[in-house]
Amino acid sequence: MAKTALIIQQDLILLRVLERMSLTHQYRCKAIRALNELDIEDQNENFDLIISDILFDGIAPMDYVHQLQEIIRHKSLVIITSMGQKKVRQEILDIGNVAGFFAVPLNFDKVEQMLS
Amino acid sequence: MEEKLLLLIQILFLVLILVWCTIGFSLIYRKIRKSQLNRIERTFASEISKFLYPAHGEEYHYLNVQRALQAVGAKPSKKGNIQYLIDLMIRAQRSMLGNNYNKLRLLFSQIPPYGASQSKLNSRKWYVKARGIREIYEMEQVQYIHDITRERNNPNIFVRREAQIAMVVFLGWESLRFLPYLKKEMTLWQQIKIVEKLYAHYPDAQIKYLKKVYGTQRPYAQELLMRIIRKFNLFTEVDYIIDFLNHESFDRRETAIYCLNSFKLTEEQLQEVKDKLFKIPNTEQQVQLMQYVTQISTEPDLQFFDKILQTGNDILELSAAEVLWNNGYEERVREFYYSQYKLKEVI
Repeated sequence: MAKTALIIQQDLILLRVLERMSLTHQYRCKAIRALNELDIEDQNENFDLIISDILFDGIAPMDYVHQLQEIIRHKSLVIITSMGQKKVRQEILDIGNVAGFFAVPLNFDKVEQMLS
Repeated sequence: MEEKLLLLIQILFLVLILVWCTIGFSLIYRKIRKSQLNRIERTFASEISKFLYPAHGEEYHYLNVQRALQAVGAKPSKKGNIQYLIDLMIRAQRSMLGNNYNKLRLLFSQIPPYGASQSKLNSRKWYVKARGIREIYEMEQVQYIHDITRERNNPNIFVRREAQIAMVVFLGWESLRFLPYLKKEMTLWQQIKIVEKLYAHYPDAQIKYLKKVYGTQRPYAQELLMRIIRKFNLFTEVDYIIDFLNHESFDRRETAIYCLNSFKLTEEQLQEVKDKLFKIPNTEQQVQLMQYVTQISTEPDLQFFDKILQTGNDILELSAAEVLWNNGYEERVREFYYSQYKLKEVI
């Protein structure tokens, strides 16, 4: 069975590129621009990988990560964001269960390694 | 009278309807325009992703990208759309590094936005021109470098700023062949920008270009060179900075002291700095330099501090005394100040 990935990025270009990248690695992929585009069915899914931003309207980055980890079942979580200051990075990694943190601009090859 | 009033009401009513019509029209126009731009963005994003990660390992030809973009209206006849496309391109390129960045650069050089950036270079309006230069260096369209180099002395500050940055991005250390000989002064902010850009794009120092321009007499250029030496931590070139410590210009000395701060010195250099301290005509700067000397040497050099105590400058003496006191030479400080008291009492 194909692996599943959930990609949440506000930036359309990043979203599409990440989607294509996971498709070429034989992932089944759902790409959305914000959490509220998520369906009821998706909540039953156990995603192999979630690639998400942390900067969204109406919610603080840390709260968002906590909420994401609570709501959606998943195996690993990767953060890709343009808010890549050292402090933020440290705070996110301190939360735990975050497999990777990448700041934009990023080298996609490193994300690709996590896919395979 | 009544008729006139009616006429007035009629006219006002007409104006009101006109205003409503304009508002309605603008609403509709904006909606259409927005959806048009969104369509371009969607197409661009999906084409870029297909180009970067083609299915089944086949190459995705750049003509496909070009055709798709043209189909959604990014044509040379529509300038607004082309401008939007350029912004998208810059945004895409800014978010990527490594392999994908190089791929995108190749793609964008193959589907140039129909010379839109280049035609801006010939515009008479300064903001159009500056924007054109910026787009060219952001997208690394190196073929236009000759047109840009010509603008480095442009009378408009924004145009020449962008042109200078573009030269740094394209030529790297070689741009030092031009930058120290500009006709106009360069602001501090611009110097910092140039140094940062140079460091971001060309982190390996090429000292030979630096050495060739040491002879420059332009004030901003001397400061720029000092800042470059500091940023790249070129400890072999520290002597250039030390030379400016007792320069006649306040700003040059200020820069030299600031740039020197991040270096450790050899014994001879330290001696030279100490000698120069007495030739600086400004007390604040003397104190700064003295603090730097204290900071980099392990033991306070007593001879040097004794010499400072004899300068007759109250502020400088006090700073020197403070350093001595903090390093366990209380006796010496006491002796120095008590000797003054006695003198004054006698008088």
